[in-house]
Formats: sequence, structure tokens, C-alpha cells
Amino acid sequence: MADEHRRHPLASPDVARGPRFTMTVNGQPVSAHEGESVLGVLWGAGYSALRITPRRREPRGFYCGMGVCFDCLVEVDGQVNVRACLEPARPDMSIRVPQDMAPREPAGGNGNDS
Amino acid sequence: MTPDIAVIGAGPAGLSAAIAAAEAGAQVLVVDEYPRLGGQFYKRAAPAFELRADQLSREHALGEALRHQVKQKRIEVMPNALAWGAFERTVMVQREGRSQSIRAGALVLATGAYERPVPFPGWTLPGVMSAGGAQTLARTQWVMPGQRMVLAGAGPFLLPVAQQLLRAGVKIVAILEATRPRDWLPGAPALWGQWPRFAEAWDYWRSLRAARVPVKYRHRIIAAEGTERVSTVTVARVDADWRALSGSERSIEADGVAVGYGFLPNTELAELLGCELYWDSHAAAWFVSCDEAMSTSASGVFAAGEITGIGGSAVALEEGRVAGLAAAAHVGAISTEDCRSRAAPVRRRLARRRRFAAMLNRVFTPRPGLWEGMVGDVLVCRCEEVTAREVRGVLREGCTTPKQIKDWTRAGMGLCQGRMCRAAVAQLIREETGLDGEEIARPHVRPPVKPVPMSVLAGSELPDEEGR
Repeated sequence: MADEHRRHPLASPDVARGPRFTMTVNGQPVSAHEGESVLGVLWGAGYSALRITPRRREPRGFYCGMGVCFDCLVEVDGQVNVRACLEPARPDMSIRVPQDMAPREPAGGNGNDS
Repeated sequence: MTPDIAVIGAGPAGLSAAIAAAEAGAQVLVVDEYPRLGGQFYKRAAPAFELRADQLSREHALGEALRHQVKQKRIEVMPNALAWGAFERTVMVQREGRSQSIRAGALVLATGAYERPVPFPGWTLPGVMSAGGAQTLARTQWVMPGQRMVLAGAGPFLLPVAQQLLRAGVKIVAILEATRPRDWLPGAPALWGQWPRFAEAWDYWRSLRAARVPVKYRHRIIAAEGTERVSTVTVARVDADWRALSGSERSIEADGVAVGYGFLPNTELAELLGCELYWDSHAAAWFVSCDEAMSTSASGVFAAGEITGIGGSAVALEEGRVAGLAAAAHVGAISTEDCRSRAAPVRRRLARRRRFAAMLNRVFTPRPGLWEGMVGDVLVCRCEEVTAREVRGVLREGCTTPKQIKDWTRAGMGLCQGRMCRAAVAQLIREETGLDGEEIARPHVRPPVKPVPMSVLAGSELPDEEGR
């Protein structure tokens, strides 16, 4: 059962979390716990690019973590522009982030905006 | 709703003000945009987490004590409520999909601060975040912002952030402090009487030592590199003005970067209410002017905490108390004499704490080199993706104000409403025009101070002619 769920490489070990439930991210089941935010679930599960910017097509994660910067915008249950850092994770929530942003080794070389 | 006193913001200043006002017999309502009281200083993991004692932050006990007092004194609390507009003594609040107005006898504004965003190449990459953002993720979610992280900034805030990250399992590969210990000596006199600060600093220092975290003084982050996420950072030694010393650049592998170079106050509601602001050149921001009773220039409007000056929770707690008492006197819950005598001991403590905070602002004031990364294609406005080159371009063509820059480049027109770019834009104005500090025009604030859905505005319960 646990294998169906994406592993959470960045979730701190040795922490007693609330009751577990399942959400979907891009159609895939991801486990979450009561009291976590959508950002906590996504970032813990290894998603780092939460959206692609409209003008320069660049990935964004989160910056302020407190609802001020509007970087961490994801689609929740069909609603766009939801700040992941503020939104509580709930059972059966359906999240969409850019496709194919699985954690992987970077291609090497420099970033694209310097 | 018509409480005696409406407190906007439930951090240390707001909670302290509410408690003091309630103790003085006023009927108090606290409004906060977050689901849990405590603001930034007392943010905590949701109760669903069952944390051990050694996993709780230093602030946890005090935050819980304040929340408990709020309940005990039957202070009315309105969380998940965004105050998006204000006039006279009425505040417009978005809550549960609708908007409502709150008219109070007095307002206490305690809207806090957020981290100063500093542009550099690669700063928009996933994995580059503010120090506060890293702390929030680690403390409230128990998620590592990165497995190998670099912390870069100036000032003591990096210390609690580092401790929290270590507890969450992060390997901190370097802390880059822009100043060096010798720079702190002029501030030594202000340490007198602030003994709890030593205990606090020692506690953080011990955590860093135990984890063998390298601290590099007179160092700054120059760039972040990576494709979908940061994977390396470039750091350099800096001079007294924080300018990078060429040839000292080094690369460090890191999948997370936490950046903390000071704080900017959330003064938007105060500005809507017509409160006068003052420019603090050390903190490099505009703050709300208050008299010794924490009264602003707008009648019946009081302010406390970071929006009156960056001073941390120690100052916020005392200012909140003074503001709460003054607001209670304003609505007649206590007499002016009673207010003055209750506030007197608080004011004495406040003066000492302010001296300490002012010293920190002086010692760690941003220096010109901090902005060296703002060149070429580096984004200044994250929301609208406006580059430093574009802003410098319109400045060279004759723009001199943030509004003109917004009109010509869209910088400041995005969802964050200019919060992420206003400091950088002001710095660009300074660099290109020579205008400085108070001379640089302030952007005009208009409601809503944060984005509000049209459906909420359409369903607004607007105040009637009497402002109810």
C-alpha cells in the first residue's frame, strides 16, 4: 500500500505526524497528514517546480513561505492561483503542478537566468 | 461587527495589545489572516503533530501562553480573515468567501513584517527562499527546504533559522554572514541589561558547534545555479560595504539556499488610514510614526510591533501592551491617568529593548554591495518577470518614481502588489538617479492591500452612512 505512494525524501524523519490520508498530485497518489499544508506535502514529496512562469517559462518553488510573494501558486481541485504555503492539505484533494518535475539530478551547467 | 477595539494581526504585538486592552475592560476583537494565532514569531506546527519537548522552539511556550490568555480573557478571535481595506476606524475583512466590515472604537495595527527580498542571479530558482520561509517549512511542516543548505544573510535571525533547520535534519554546509564580529563592537553598550539575549545566542551557537556548521564572516551569496532547482551556489568574500572581492568566488553544492538580509514592514493598512510614516535609514524602510502612547497620526488608530520599527518580539510585546492600554483609554474603558500609570513600567522596559533593537539595525544595516547582483537579466519583479536591465533602462530614460517604473515596465503590478520588488526598485532609483531614502517617492497604496476575488468584493457587506 505504501509503495503506491510517492516517497517523501525531504520529510524530516522521527516526527509524529497527524493521521495520514491520500491526495493526488497530477493524478498520482501522494500521502499527506492532518495539519500539513499543500506546500509541506509537495516539497516533502520532492516536488520543487510548483509552476512555470508565463513570460520566461521558468520554474518556481516557494520564496517567502507565508503568503506574501505569490510564487508557490498551484492548482487545487480545479482552482488556479492557490498559494500552496497557506492551503491546508485535505483528503482527496487534487493538485496539479507542472508535469515531469520529478526530483532528478540536474542536467549540469548553469541556471538559465544569470 | 462593532467591537470596542479591533486588533489587526495576531503576532506578539497584536496578542499583547489585545490582552492589555481586555484586562483594561475593553471588548476586543483580534483579526488575523492565518488559521492559527501567533503571527510569524510564534508560528507552530498544527496541533495534529505530536512533537516532543526537544522539538519545540524557544518561542513555543510563550506563544502558547499568549494564546491561552486570549482564550481566558474571552477575547474574540477572527482567524483566516484578511483585512484588505480600512478607512477611519473601519476595517474591511475577507472571510469565508465574503467580505464584511468591522467598525471599532479604536484600531490597533500590528501587521508585522516580511523578509527583504534581494535579487541575484538564480534567486528565482526553486530551492532559493527567504530565511523565514525556510524556518516556516521546517518548523510548521517538518520538511527540509533542502538536504544540503547554505544560509546567507546579515544579523542574528540566521541563528534560530539554522537551529530549526538542523533539527529538521538539514545539513547546513555554510552560513554566510555579511558582517564580521569586529563590526559588532560599537553595538556592545546596547547589550547591557539584555542578558536573556546572551542565553538565547549561546543556545543557538551550541547547536551550530555541535553540528560543526562552518560560519563564514564577511561573505555573501553571489549567485545560485541549477536547472529545475538550485544545485550549486557561488559565494564570495566581501569588503566593509559588502562588495564582492574579485577572485574570492567559490562554488558550494547546495539544493537549498535561505537568504535573510533584514525585514520590511507591512504598513499598507496604516497608509490607507492616513497614518504618517517616517524613514529609518538603518532599517532602510518607511515605518508608522507613533507617539509614546503608540498612537499614530490618525485619530483612534494605534500601532505596535514591526510596523513602527524593526525590533523583534521583545519590542513588539511591550509596544503592544502600551498600544492596547492607550486604545482602551481612547474608548473610555480606563481613564487616561490609569492608562499612564499602567503603561509607565512598560515604557521603561520598552526604551531598553528599543535601544538594543536600534543597535542591531545599525550594525546589520544593508550596505551597497548587497545589491550588486541586480544586473542584466536578473529579475527584479518576480511576479511580472521584469529584469534589472529593463528597470535601469526606463530610469535612464527619465523615470524617477516607483509608479513611473510600474507604468513603463509592470514592475510592482503583479499579485504580490510590489512587496517583493519595492526595495530593489528603490535601490535602482537610488543608483540611477542619486535620489536617496526619503527623497524616493513612496508607491501609493490602494485597497485591496492583498488580492481579493471579485466574488468576495461583489458580495461585500459595505458599511452604511454612519460607517457601521
